[in-house]
This record gives sequence, structure tokens and C-alpha cells, in this order.
Amino acid sequence: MNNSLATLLPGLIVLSSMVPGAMIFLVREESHLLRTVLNLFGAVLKLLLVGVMVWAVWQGNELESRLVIAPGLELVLHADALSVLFATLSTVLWLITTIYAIGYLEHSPNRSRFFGFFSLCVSATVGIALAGNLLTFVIFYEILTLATYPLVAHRGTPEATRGAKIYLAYTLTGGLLLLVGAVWLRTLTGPVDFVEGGVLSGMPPELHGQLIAIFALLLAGLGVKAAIVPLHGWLPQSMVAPAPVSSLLHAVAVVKAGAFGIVRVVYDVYGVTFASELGLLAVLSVLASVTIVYGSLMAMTQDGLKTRLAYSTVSQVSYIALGASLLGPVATIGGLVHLVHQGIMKITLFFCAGNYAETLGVHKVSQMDGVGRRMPWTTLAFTVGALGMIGIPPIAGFVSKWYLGLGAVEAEQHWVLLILAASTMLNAGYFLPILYRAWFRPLPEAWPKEHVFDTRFETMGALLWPPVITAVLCLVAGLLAAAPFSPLEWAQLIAKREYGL
Amino acid sequence: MTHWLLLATWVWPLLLALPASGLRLRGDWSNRETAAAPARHVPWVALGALPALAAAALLPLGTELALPWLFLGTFMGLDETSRMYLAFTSLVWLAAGAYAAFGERGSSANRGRFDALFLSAMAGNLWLIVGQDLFSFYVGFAMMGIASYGLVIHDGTVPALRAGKVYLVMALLGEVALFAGLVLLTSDTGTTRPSPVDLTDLSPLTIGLLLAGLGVKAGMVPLHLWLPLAHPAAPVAASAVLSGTMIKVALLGWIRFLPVGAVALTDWGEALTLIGLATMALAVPVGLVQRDPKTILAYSSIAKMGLLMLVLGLALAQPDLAPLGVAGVVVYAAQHGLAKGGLFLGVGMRKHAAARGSITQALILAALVFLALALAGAPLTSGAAAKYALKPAVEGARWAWISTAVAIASVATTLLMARFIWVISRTEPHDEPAWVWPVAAWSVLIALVALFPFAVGEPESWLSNADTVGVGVGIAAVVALFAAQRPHVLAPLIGLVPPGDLLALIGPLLAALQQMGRHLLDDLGLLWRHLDATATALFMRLFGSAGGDSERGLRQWPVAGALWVGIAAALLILLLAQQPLVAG
Repeated sequence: MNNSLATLLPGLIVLSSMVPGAMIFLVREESHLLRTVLNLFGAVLKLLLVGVMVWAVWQGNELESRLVIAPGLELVLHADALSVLFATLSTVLWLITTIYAIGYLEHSPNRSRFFGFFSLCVSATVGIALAGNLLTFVIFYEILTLATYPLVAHRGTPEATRGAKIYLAYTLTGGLLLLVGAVWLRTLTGPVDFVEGGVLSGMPPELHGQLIAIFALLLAGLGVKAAIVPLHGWLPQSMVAPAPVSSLLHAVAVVKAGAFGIVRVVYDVYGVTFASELGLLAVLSVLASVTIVYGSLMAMTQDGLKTRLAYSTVSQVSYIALGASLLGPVATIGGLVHLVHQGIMKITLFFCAGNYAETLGVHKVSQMDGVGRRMPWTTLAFTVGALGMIGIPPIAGFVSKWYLGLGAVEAEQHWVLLILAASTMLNAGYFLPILYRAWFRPLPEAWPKEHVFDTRFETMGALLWPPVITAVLCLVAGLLAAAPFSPLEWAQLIAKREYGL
Repeated sequence: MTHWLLLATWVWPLLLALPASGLRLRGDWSNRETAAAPARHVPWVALGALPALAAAALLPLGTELALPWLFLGTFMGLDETSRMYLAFTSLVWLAAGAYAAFGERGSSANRGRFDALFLSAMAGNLWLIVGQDLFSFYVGFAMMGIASYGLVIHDGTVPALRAGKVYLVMALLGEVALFAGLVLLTSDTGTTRPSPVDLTDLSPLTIGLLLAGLGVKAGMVPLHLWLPLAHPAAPVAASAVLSGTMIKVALLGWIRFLPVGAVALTDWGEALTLIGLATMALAVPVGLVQRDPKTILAYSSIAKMGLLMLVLGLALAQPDLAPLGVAGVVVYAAQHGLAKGGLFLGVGMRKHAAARGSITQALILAALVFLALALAGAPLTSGAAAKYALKPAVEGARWAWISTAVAIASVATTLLMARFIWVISRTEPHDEPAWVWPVAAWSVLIALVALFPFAVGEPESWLSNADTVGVGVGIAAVVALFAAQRPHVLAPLIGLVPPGDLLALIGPLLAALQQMGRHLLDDLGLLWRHLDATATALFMRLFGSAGGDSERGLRQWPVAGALWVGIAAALLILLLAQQPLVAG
């Protein structure tokens, strides 16, 4: 691979959405076409660049962009197998979500502001994915926080403002803890890049106490975004955001950034073996397990469809942390592959929830009787996503569950099987009643607030196709899990490199 | 190229599911009537099992198809066991499919949903038979289990919904146990396509989970509670496959994933034998006092599964019995699948296919008597041949009394079938038009049951088993005469035990638990909402209001934000100024 391209590519990938994003702010509100072109241009360009990057990393190339901000302080963007996994996920889903958002916000005000921040948000996410050291990571992490705030508050209603403020309070506090942790760590180690296998295992034993404290700070900072109990309070509150934002928050950007950060810290800063020696993994696995069960229990009590999905996210994202907390390559694969699988399944579910709200005015589970008759394709997509979440094969979720279960047994942590079993039952407990209502109950006399679109489809095309496409992705990721370039294969590549196999 | 037929066995019904469902992409959604219902019901469902039948009939033994890219690595193949399973499974699905396509009535939207679920369950059932790896087994098992829930609650009646709930909870528990069992098995053996030799070192936990997980499907007492509720509640076509083929996959799973014949698992084997015996001992008496013909058939299925568990337990305990024992179990499962599928379909025919007193009704009743005799194992029927196949294992058992127990069970089965004939002959038919195709498919199934002993069985088996069936028929005749003379003496017995037997005992306990759980969840939700509201109110008091004094000004976002930036900047300066303690 060309040398200059290798040093430019990571930077270009971040800029490919940041520049069109900045330009969108300047677009006049009524210039629908120009904004759409800019949006899609950025999304498609980024997808192409990421495609090149996937190929390069597969070949074993090193891609790195460095920018010296101050002496000893460098902005590093580095593409390794793990960053490619997250960057590809967010790029693909960003393209689909952009199309969905264009349809969803067809007639609402302030679209330029919305799409501007939307693009910034994805730039920050990809920046997080490609960050090559902890400080770069923290910078993009903060940009992400600030870029998503206006999106959550977009509607401008009192609830939206309130939800957004709560979101900001949580995430800024988390960000601060993360920053303190990162700085503290740097005072111990000096400038250190992320390295597969970790960098801290050579630290003298007298510093282990400090390292544990730093881990606690980092975990608290990242745990806010990853919605680990008890730091998850913002997530249900931010459900006031428009559906495309919820999809993005849950599946692609914010929650994932937290989970991804935990994976980075465990594998590429501490090193999984060293973290296990310090006893950090045991704490993480207990926290993740509590979150998995608690999130599912709370989801069962919710009638609001989006809040139910939000608690489901709380539960499901901790699978990733759980995978990171079990020592052994198999569990690593399970956690990493769930990063992708949870993303595509959850985004499907949120798209569908958005479709129900936008087309029929259905916001609550109790209003969903017979919705499968009125919107069969949306409901089919929802069914695939929901069954995948429960872990029914051959949908993607089963693959994660299998590797987590096997990884737990290989790590001699048999109790995790009980957590997985409980989670399966609870997921079935809050998803299957929805499916039952949608497919088996009779239609109501009238829907709460039905929009009639000028189309022969069940809803507007831009709303219908994104969930159908992501549902197909869920099936393909499961059915072709063992095929080349599947998320599973990629997770295996990462695990191989992390464990030096 | 013909080996791709193995893939087609389950892909074909899956592909058919979409057109069969009748879902359309475009429609007039403003009109509730046309939005809800596809224009016309197309009977795709009748064709679902054709490739499977072709594969069973045409492919030579030992055909293999490895697709390492599919799912988590799929390996399909045809050995003795899977071919036998494929044959009887596809036949029962075909006959039931013809029934579903032309016999089930209702709105076209509902029928489309039924057909799509029926085909998905079929695909799962066939995938787990042709797939030789444990992923294929689990995928098929799960697809079949989830889709069947939709089949059970199809009618939407209160009993159907209750049956569906019991079924779903137990099926999911079974799947979770099976999942854990297979994970442990993979970890124990290091392979996902274990041969019996790989399985010799399974941990007790693994074996227990596999037995319990599949035991739910098999109707193993006390995990059978869903079966007598779900099989009668489902529409006839679904009952036929639920009882005919789906419960049999549990045996297939045990044969594949337990070290049958490789090592003597004396304790587990004897436990399975005793559980099988207990299953029979519970199912027959409870079945005898049922009113609904389909419930009687469901209990008969449980009893038969008990017999097969018993034999499999013997093979597990004594490896020398395994080759003949396993072969016998498979033949018996095939025979029972065909006969029981036929009996369930026959109940539907009896109820709807022709008017009372017509020749057709008389023929249907005669066919049902024949099937009942076949199930009981009368001489010259498939039952006698299948029973004969179990003989070596039963007679070779270390426990000599097993043969006696099996003989008693055989008499009891005959009584159960006599009770079924008694009930079904008194069932009032409600004539419906257009039954030609289901009756034709059913006739083919019956012909196959009739030919079964001459195709599969040993000639010396044809006249066997006359004694037990004779005794059974004799007792049944005496009881029938008595019941006809003095109906009031036996009447109180009928309905003494409700379907789902033990569920009635633990029902109140479960209800109380459920109530408690719901309260707990509600309280949890309430508590959380309360805490949430308090915290939010506090938060808004701190940050939400735009106050005038400097105290409040400090708390506003611009100020808070500036503070934050300040702290961050201070940290950065610290960072840049300080020398690292340890060089990276």
C-alpha cells in the first residue's frame, strides 16, 4: 500500500463526514436537495474509504495518522483490526440511518442543524474507533458528548430539554472521570499508544494500587456511556430524542463508544492477562452480569416501546463488557462480535419503533395489537431483531451468545451460563408479548394517529427500507457467520492478534 | 450434484414461507379489510416436504454435504438413523401439509400466518435431521420450537392461549438447558460434530442438561405438562406434526449427543429407564379418563415416548444392547410418527370431512380403528413389527422384570386406544365441503402404515404381540359392555384428572409465584419511577431554573461548562508539565 495513503487514510476517514457536516450547517433550511447530496456524499465516501481500510488491515498493513498538538501530546489515528470493526459498523449504519433520518424529518424544522450535528456525531464515533492512544480517545469521546446533546434536545420540548440536560450531566461527569484517569495514567507511563496485548504488564508491583484506582476511574467514565448499572440513568431519559437519534445513540455511537472504550482499556492498555491478574476482570464481569439482569427486569416493567428498547440496550451492551471480562480468546470473540450484532439488531428495532410512531402514532406496547397486519414488513423486521436479541438461531444474536457461553466455560466461569439463561428468558419475557400482540391480536378500530403517505407501501419508502435492510443484515450475519469477512471472522482475527496466537 | 438435495430439504420450505404467508409489499393500507387480508390463499404449504421425501428416497446412505461457510459451519449427511427420520418426518409433514392447505378453514390472513409458521417449523425439523453437527441441531430445534408456539395459539381461544403460554415457557426452559448442555459438550469434547467415542468423557452436568433440555420436548415426566395441553389446542394439521414428528427429535438428539454404545453409563441409563417407566405409568391412566380424543392421543404419545426412553436408557446402561436398541428405537419412532400423525389427522376428518352416516364416515372410522390397532401393536400391523424391533434390547436388559413391565404397558396402550375409539365413534361430525385432497393424502399415509411391517419388519414379527393386544382388547370389550350397560358407574371417572395433570396440582403454586413476580416487578417499576422523579426534580432544581442571584448563576450551564473546560485545561497543563514517572 502506498505510504502517503497509509498515513492519510485514517485522518481522511474522520474528515469525510466532518467536512460535509460543517458545510451542512451553512445550508439554508429549504435546500433539501443540497443537504441530502452533502449527507449522502459524506456517507458514501466514508464507506468507500473504510472499504479500502478493511482491505489494507486484512492484508496486515499499518495505517496511522499522527498530528503533534504540543510536544509530547499527539493526536494519533491508528487502524488496527479492532478499530476497523467499530469503524465499519458505524459507517455502514450511519449511511442507513442518514437515509432513514432524511425520511423521518421530512417536514420538521431545523434540519440543517440536525444533520450538521448528526455528521459531527459520526465523525466523533469514527474518531473514537480509530483513536490510537488514550488522549485521542478522550478528545473524540468529549466531542461525541457535545455533538449528541443538540440531537437529543432537537425537538425543543420541555421533556426534550430536560432529557438532554440529564444526558449532558451524566456524560460530562463521565468524561471528566475518564480524563482524570487518562491523565493520571499518563503521569505514570508517559505517552503510550494502544498496543494489542496491552502495555502495562511490565509495571512494577508497587504501582499496582494506582493502576487499580485508574482502572476504576476509567471504568466509571466509560461506564456512563456504556450504561452500566448504576450509571445508566440517562439512557431511558434520552428516549425523548427522535427515532433516528435513538437508533444512533443505541446502536452506533454513544453506548457503543462506552463499550468499545472498555474493550480498548482492557485489551490494549492493561492487557487482558494483566487485568485478570489485578483482579479487575472479576469486578467487571460481576458489574456486567448485574447490568444484564437488571436491564432486562426493568425492560419488563415498561409499556413505552422505546423505553423498553432502551432498557434492553442497557442489558445487551453489557454482553460486550462481559465478553471482555472473561479471560480467553473465545469469550473475547463473543464480546467483540456482539458489538456488531447488537448494533444491527438494535438499530432494526429502533427503526421499527420509529415507523410505528411516525406512521400510526403507536408509541406504547399496549397499542401494538394487530400492528403486524397493518405494517407487515416493518413487523417482520422487528420480529427478526427481537428474536435475535433473545438469541434464537440462526439470527446474529445467537452467535454472540454461543461464543460468550463457550468462552465462559473455557474460562471456568460456569455461572455465566446461568446469567445467559436468565437473560434469554427475560428477553423472551419482554419481546415475545410484543410479537404476540403484533401478529395475533385483532386490529383496533382506529390507530392513535395515522399518517397517510403518498405511497402504495405500508409507510414511506425511506422509512420502510432501512429496517428491512438491517433485518436482512441480522440474518446474513448469523447465517453466514463462518464466511469470510463476516463480523465473526473479523472478531476471530482480533482475538488472534490480541492473544498473540 | 444430488447431495445438494440435502440442503434443499430445509431451504425449500423456508423459501416457500414467504409466498405462503401471502404478505404483500404494496397494498391499499387505508382499507382495513384489504390491508389485513391477502387476496387469496395459495396452498404452497402442501409442497414443503417434497425435497425431503425425495432426499430420503433417492440419496444413497453416506451422502455428505459440507458447507463450512454456512452458519457456524454446517455439515449435512445421511446415515441410517437420519434417513429413517427423514423418511417418516417428511411423510407426516406432507400429509399434514395437504391437510393444512385444503382442510384448515378461516380467514386468508390467518391461514397465511399459519402456513408460514408451519413451513418454518418444518424447515427446522428437517434441518436438524439432515444436519450432523450440533449447531444444525440447535438451530432446527429452536426454529421448530418458536414457530410451533404460533401454531399452538393459532385459534386464539382461551384454552389455546393458556396452552401456548405453558408450552412457550417450558419450551424456552428446555432450549436454555439444551443450549447450556451443548456449550458444555463442545467444551468437554472440543468438537461440534461429536462421534460416540468423543462423548465418553461428558461431565454429569452436561448429561443432565441434555437429558432435561430434550426431555421437555420428549414429554418426559414431570416435564410433559405442556404436551397434553398444546397438542389438542393446536389445529389438527399442527397436532399431527407436533405429536408425530417434533417430539421424536428428542430421541434423535440423545442418540447423537449421548455416548450410546460407547461407554456404560449405568446410573444415567437406569435413571432414564425408570423415568420412562414413570412416564408410561402416569400417562396411561390419566389418558384413560380424558374426554377430548386429541387429549387421549396426546397422552398416548407421552406413553410411547416413555417406552422409547426406557429402551434408550437400557442401551445407555449396557453398550452391548446399543446397536440393536438404537435401531429399534428409530424404527419404533418412525412407526409411531406415521400412525400418530394419521390418527390426529383422522380426528379432523372424522369431525369435518363427511356427513354422519355416510359411507365416507364409516370408512374414516374403519381407518381410525386400523390406525389405533397399529398403534397398539396388533399382529400384522406396523405396531407389531416395531415392537419386535425393541425386543432384543428389552429382553437383554439386566433387570429381568423389564419385559413384564413392557408387556403390561402394551396392554395398557391397547386400552388407551380402545378408549380413543370409544370417544371418537361418539363424536358428532360437522360436515364441510371440499375434503378430497386431505382425504387423499391421509389415505396414502394409511397405506404406508399398512405396508410398513412388510417393508421394514422381519417376517417373524408379523404375527407377534397377539397376546398382549388380545388381553387389552378383551379387557376393553368387557369394560365397554359394562359402560354401555351401566354408564353411571364409570362416568365419575371421566374427567377426574384434567389435561396437564400435575399442572393442576402445582397450578395454584405457579399462579401465586406469578402474582408475586408481577407485584415485585410492579413495585420495582413504581419504586424506580419514584426515585427517578425525585432525582429529576432535584436535578432540575439545581440546573433547570434561570435564577437571578450569583449562586444560581454559577449553576447555569454556560458557567458549569466553563468550569468544566477549566478543570480540563488544568489537567492538560499538569499533563504537559510533569515528567513521566516511568518511561513508557
